[in-house]
Formats: sequence, structure tokens, C-alpha cells
Amino acid sequence: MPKNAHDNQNPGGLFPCLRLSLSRKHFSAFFPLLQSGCLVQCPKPLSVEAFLLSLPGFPGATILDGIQTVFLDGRPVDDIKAATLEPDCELALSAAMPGALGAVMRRGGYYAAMRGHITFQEQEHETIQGAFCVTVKLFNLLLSQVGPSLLEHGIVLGSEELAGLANSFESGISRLEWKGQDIAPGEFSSLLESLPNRVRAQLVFKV
Amino acid sequence: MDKILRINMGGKGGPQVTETPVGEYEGLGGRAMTSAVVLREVPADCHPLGADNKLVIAPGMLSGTLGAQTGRISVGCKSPLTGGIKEANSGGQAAQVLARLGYAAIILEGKPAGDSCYKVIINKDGVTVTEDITLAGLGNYAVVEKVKAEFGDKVATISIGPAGEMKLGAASVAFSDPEMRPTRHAGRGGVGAVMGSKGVKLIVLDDEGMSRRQAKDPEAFKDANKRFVAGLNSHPVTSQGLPLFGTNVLVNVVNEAGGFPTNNFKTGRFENASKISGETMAEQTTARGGVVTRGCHKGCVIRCSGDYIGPDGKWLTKQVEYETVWAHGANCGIDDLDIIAQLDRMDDDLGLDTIEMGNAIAVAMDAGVADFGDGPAALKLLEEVGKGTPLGRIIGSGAGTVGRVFSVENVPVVKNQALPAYDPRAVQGIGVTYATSPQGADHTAGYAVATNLMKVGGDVDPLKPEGNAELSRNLQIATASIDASGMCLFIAFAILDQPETFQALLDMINAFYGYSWTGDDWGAYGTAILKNEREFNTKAGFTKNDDRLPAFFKKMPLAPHNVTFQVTDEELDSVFDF
Ligand code: SF4
Repeated sequence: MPKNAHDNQNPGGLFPCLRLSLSRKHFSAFFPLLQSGCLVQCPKPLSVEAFLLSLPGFPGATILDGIQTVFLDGRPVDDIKAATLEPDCELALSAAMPGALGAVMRRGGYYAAMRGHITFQEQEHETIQGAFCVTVKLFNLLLSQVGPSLLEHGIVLGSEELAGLANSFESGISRLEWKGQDIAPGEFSSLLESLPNRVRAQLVFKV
Repeated sequence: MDKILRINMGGKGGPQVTETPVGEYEGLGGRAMTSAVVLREVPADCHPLGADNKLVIAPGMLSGTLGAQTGRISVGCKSPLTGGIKEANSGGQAAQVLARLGYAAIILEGKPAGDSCYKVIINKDGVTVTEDITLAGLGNYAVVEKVKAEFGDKVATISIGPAGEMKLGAASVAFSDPEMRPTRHAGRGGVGAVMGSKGVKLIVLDDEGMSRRQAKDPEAFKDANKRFVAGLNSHPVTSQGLPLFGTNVLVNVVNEAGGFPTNNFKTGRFENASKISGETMAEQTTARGGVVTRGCHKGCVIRCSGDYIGPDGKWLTKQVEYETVWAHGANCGIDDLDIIAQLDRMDDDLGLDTIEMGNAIAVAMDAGVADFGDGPAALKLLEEVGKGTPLGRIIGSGAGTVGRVFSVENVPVVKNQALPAYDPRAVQGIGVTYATSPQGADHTAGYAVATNLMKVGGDVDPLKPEGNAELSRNLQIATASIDASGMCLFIAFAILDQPETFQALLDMINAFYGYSWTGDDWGAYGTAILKNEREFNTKAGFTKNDDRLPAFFKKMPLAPHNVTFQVTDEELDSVFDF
């Protein structure tokens, strides 16, 4: 049986969308979440590279080059063109790291053999239809380099999780849209109370 | 750096000071110097805390010059922790100052008759050694405050805390940083205990009136240094990652790889890793008004260090390093950065190796002395060390001793020295280095990664089964060379990725000494250091059976990847086949 969206609790591949424009100074409030992992919608099976390039405003090749340390389900990835995202997988992205461990973990690096037995190996896939969710973690330099694109793409948040975060950014909301409709930013608190269990929060940061 | 200062602490009528030309040790710096002196002058069967052992303190080949990153210093001796040769490396101001004073090494020899507490003052006018009982029992911070009051804040200090005076196996030697705080430590192997056994509490170095060391070809040296700095400034690891987040940037990545030892090496993931990561610490430091980017010595351009500001808004300790955050944090199940920083401050004050102490406390927790995750209990155990209670002395003697006393089966030590912050089951190639390094399990032993440029040991095919042994050998050789140069190991990335930066480094050495070294010569220099160290250890009774990881790494699978250490003994034995 093909895997589909329902296996991943993501009916139709879409959660209702809450779009917030925020002042850039509130961006760092999302660092803890970005480090520990955000649930993100992926429209279909994509390679790591294709997924990143599909993110809105993703800065492109220079940043891709800087993503030197990549893990899929905790396994170091050597080829980001070949490694494919699947439902429920966990993708972690980091810049090049110092020290022997940094050298060993780098994608396609000279010392990759030193961690050969945990290296990510691409498997045969079942056919996957529809959108699904993956967890994405961003570390170090990539927090600020990839974080804005990922947050604008949207992260799936439980309403309580969103309410917990709201304190740290509420004062910086300049525009609020719920399911495509503009709402006055001052209505955010009352909107929070009526949100469904899960929403896709798209966060756009303005300087 | 044309002379060696010898202080015989057991001289008739008190300490005797002699200065000799550098002689047979000409051209040696840092680890090359310490290991050569220990091999030639220390009887391998001596008691590490006895009169026959020597403590060698040596700046690097390029220390005291205008060269960037050249302020690392080596401390060598027969280790009271491992029983083998030891080189512990540190930052701080001392390397530059000692080199400008003209010394290629200070060698502390002999042993005073009773319990005494000496202070050594070295300046342009000479050397004085005086008994100063007011220093006895003081923490490193108090010692440095006294020095500031007497000599001002332009001098550099080398000191031991109470742990060194108690001659504990985890005792470190402290070096003052550019802000004149005792935050930099030659931590590993109990070198502080050997300094304590010599009765030397404090060395004050004052280079006022001395000038920089001059290269044989000053213009070529200046040009090479410029190219070297440009290389460091253009590489993302050395120009962005390390300065912004410090070495603790590794927490999230190692945790993600499942190689972040947690609760005394029981699992490879710590669920609260993001609470103690470099990213979180940098955010917190900025929010509390601290500086995230500082150098451990003047002349560092990477500057991977910074401040740790306590919850009260006051400076508490230096930005806590990755190995410390791991040892006192995840390995003890502690996820509170403020507690980890307090432990770091106490280690620095008492003069203790943070890696050894974190492991010792974790093994004690495994024995049920305290619960994993209990930060206040960890602080209390460290207080016991400072007071010198029986339990404190056990903890301060290192993880191996704690394991033996409390009958813990899984004790993460090699040659009785505690493992650093990567689980060798997840990263087996690094496990090879832990097992075979003459220094005991040492994270810095295979830290440098310039070997494919240097081609030391020939071209390596990392896909061959024996690849791990070859890679580890080359890493250890490259590291030994960098340790001798006085350079910080973090230059490794830039010289790995940028051949022109490696060439600039060679050009600096060549311009300074009038050599014409190639990459091969650099490799041969590192190989000679390792040969010296292996020879000493063989004389001290070490065999290939000491080049092994504890058995539990082969038996207990590590989550999340459920892997055991699979490198065979034959592979381990092939690392040093030269
Ligand atoms: S990079 Fe870090 S460890 Fe190296 S010399 Fe600079 S401050 Fe010290």
C-alpha cells in the first residue's frame, strides 16, 4: 500500500495557514525551536537539496555550499542531491564544524570513512503520495541563514505551542492573515483562543 | 629562545637556578620540546610525583613573534594519571611572554624537602625563587589577584590551585588570559600535581623591556603571516562559526550524530542538548551583556572564546568550552548552563581538568553517589575536592580512581585518562585515536586535519578497511606538529581546505628559522614527536594492550544508532607501524 498523507496525520497535506509579518528583531525568539526541530510540510518526496531550494527566498547556491554538515535521522549525509525526504524523517543542517569531528561529519569529506557505519544510505522507497511532514533542525550559522526561509515556508505548530511562543513576538506583529484573510494585529490574542489544534504558521520577518 | 631555565627545587640550601644554552634541543618548540626532554631526562620508571620527574613548560616554535595564533604553550612530564608521557596544551599569555624573555623551556626539577610553597619571578633582570607561604591553599583567582596587586596587570602567570597542591591526578596548570584571569589550563594528565610536587605554586612572567622575537627573514615572515591571517579570515569555520559560537557550537551537531555521550556514556543523545548548545549560550551571553568573541591570548585572530555572564549580570567565567559543557553537562545529565558555568569556574579556581572532573562525577553518579541530572550535587562534589575530604580526593584523582573505589564496571578511560566528548562507538575513527594516542584518551590528539595535504604516511584510501588506522595515524602526526609550532589546533580547517594557507604556515616557519621545509618535513617533525612519546611509554612498561578502549564499548550498543566499537585489535596495532 502506498504511504500517504494520512499516515502522517496531515490530511490533504495542508494545515490551515496563519501568516504573520514580524519585525526582524523578534527572529531570535525562534532559535530554540529551530534548534530543537520544527515540523515542516514537504509537498512530495524531494531530495534535501530540492527541498531547500524550494523554500521561499532561499538564498541559493552559496548557502547550499555552506551547509557542510547534514543529517537525516541522525545519519550523516554525503550527497544532498540523492538523499530524499520521507514522511516523519528528521533533517538537521549545520555549517562546517571545527575539529576532528567536524571534519569527519562533513558531507563527502575526506574523513567520511571514519563514521562509515552510521552514514546515511539511500534506500528503495515505497511510493509516497501527497504532502507530508518532516522535522527540520537548524544549527549555528544556518539559524540566521536558512531560518527566515524555513519560517516563511511555514512551520506546523500546536495551538498551545504557538500560544507559548506568542509572548516573545506578539509586540512585533505588523500584519496578520488567517486563512488568507487580513486581521488586525491587535486581534491576535483572541484569534489564538479560537485556533484549531494545529496550524501552519508562516512567519515573515521585515527589517 | 636560545636558553633553557632549569630550577632544581631540591637543591642543597634551597632552589637552584641555572640557565643553559638550548643546545641539543635547538629548533624544538612546544610538544616537540617537552616530549624530547621527558624522554631524554626523565627515568621512565620514576614516580611521577618524585624528585626524578621533571615538569617542562615550553612555548611553541613561533611563540613570541608577531605571527598570528602562536600563543599556545605545552606542559610535559611523566603523568601521575597515566604513568606515561604527557603533553598538556594551553592558551593564555605565558607562551608569548616566556618566548620574548628568551626561554625555549622552563624545567622544574628535583623536589623540596618539606611542604613548601614557592613563587618564581622571571623578568628581564633574571630569575628569583622565593618561599611565599601566604599563597598556600589559595585558589587560582586569589593567586592572580595577589599578583595584580604586586606586579600590575601586564604580567602573565602560571599557577596551580589547591588540587595541584594536593597532587591530585586531575590537577591542572593555570595560565592567565589577556584579561589577567586564570581561565586557560593545561588540563590533562595531572600536570598540576607534578608542579605541586615541586613545591611551585606560582610563576610570574614579566617581559617589560623585552622585544618581539625577530625572524631570520623579517619581510618574508611578515608576508607569510599576512597570507596566513587572510586564509584564517576567509574560511567560514575560523572566521564565523568559532568566533560567533565558540567551540560549544559542536553540541547540537555531535548530539544529532548520536555521538554525544550522556549519563556516563549510556546513550549518544541528550534530550536537552539545545538548552546547553553554543547557539543558546551565545544568545544568553549577548542578552546578559557579555562579549561572545575573545582570544585566549593576544595575537589570536580566530578568537573562539568569550564571556560567561552569570544570572546576576556579572562575569562568572570564560565562555564555557564544548568539552566542559559536555563533561559537566550531558555526561552528568545536567542541562542548566548556569550550573555548568559554576562548575567550570570552580575547576579553574581549584585547578582541575574539566574533562576528568566531569567524567569522575558522572562515574560517581553511576555508582549512586548522586543522581544524574542533579546539578547542586555536582557542585557539592566539587566543593569536596576543594576541601580535600576523602571523597573529594577520590573524585579529584579522576574517573579511573572513582570507578575502582565504587566498583563501577563501565569507566570511560584509556591509560587511566578519561575520554573526551565524542562517543567512539558513533565515530569509530576517533575511537582509534583515543585508544592509541600515547597521551591516553585525548580529544586533541587527532584534532588536526591537514594530513591529506601533507601526505604524511602516503596517500590514504579512506574506503579501505584499514583506513581508520591510517587516518588516525596521520591525524596524530599532524596534531603533534601543530602542538610543537605554538599554533592553535583550530588553524587545521583553514590549512586543510586552503593549500595556500598551509603553504603560508610553512613559509612562516621557513622565514623565521631559515629552513626550507616542505609538507613532508612538517610531517616528519610530528612523526619524531610521536616516536619519542611511544619510546618513553614502552620504557615505562606500556604495551599494545594499553592501546585499547574499555571493553564495554565493544559490548554495549549505543543508542540511537545501536552501534558498538568494531575496530579490531589488529587494526589498532597497525596505527603505529613506523
Ligand atoms: S582560536 Fe580559541 S583556542 Fe585557539 S588560540 Fe584563539 S581563543 Fe585560543
